[in-house]
Amino acid sequence: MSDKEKLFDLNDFLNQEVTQIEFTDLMTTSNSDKSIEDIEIVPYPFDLEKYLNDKN
Amino acid sequence: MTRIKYGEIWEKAIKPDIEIIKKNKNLRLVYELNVLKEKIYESYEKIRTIVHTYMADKQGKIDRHKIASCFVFALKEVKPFEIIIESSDSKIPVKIYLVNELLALKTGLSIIMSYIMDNENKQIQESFSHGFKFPVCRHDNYVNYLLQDLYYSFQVNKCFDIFTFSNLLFMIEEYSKEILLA
Repeated sequence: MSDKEKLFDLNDFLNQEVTQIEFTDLMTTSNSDKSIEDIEIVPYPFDLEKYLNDKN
Repeated sequence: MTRIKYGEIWEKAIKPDIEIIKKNKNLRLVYELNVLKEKIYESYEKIRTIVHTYMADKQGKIDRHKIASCFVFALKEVKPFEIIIESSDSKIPVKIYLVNELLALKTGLSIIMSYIMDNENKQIQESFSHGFKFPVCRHDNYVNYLLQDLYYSFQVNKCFDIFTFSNLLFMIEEYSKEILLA
């Protein structure tokens, strides 16, 4: 999709005429299809001890 | 979030960092570990419940960036560490002043990283094994700016926007993909 097409998509979105209830629905945020309950947690790879003790 | 899953986040992503940080003579852990664990969970659940009210499907799952952003909020709200300045300390490093922000950010990044590593594609796993890539800044490194941003959000502006920080975490992930998977 070109930048021009993207801009027109944005215009389409902004030019929609909706009721107040429909606007509230438009402004909701989307859901995720993957639950954190199914994810194995891994710590972020950052050496905190070295960072805190580093004098620089 | 179930307590079992939170327990895993606590054991793998939060508690090990707390154990490292509390060795610093200029920092004191404000709560007992079991009290702190509960306070962070309560704060997370409180803000997570509010976020759910803005979702298309209010009973549905929230995405990784909002979960991470809620944890950043919870860590910042609870403020696990306080700074101790002794009379013999004329100066202490800036990073010590910003340690609650660092713990909050690192926990948020751990959540995002966990989702990325939950990918069967070995190339993706290896590419992200050393962490995210951040934009190069002219005067300082980007992570320092993030820590400053978190500091100002609470100390000065008295406002932390879950959705804005969630968006920022999304941008960090996407920027990293552009660099690491090019």
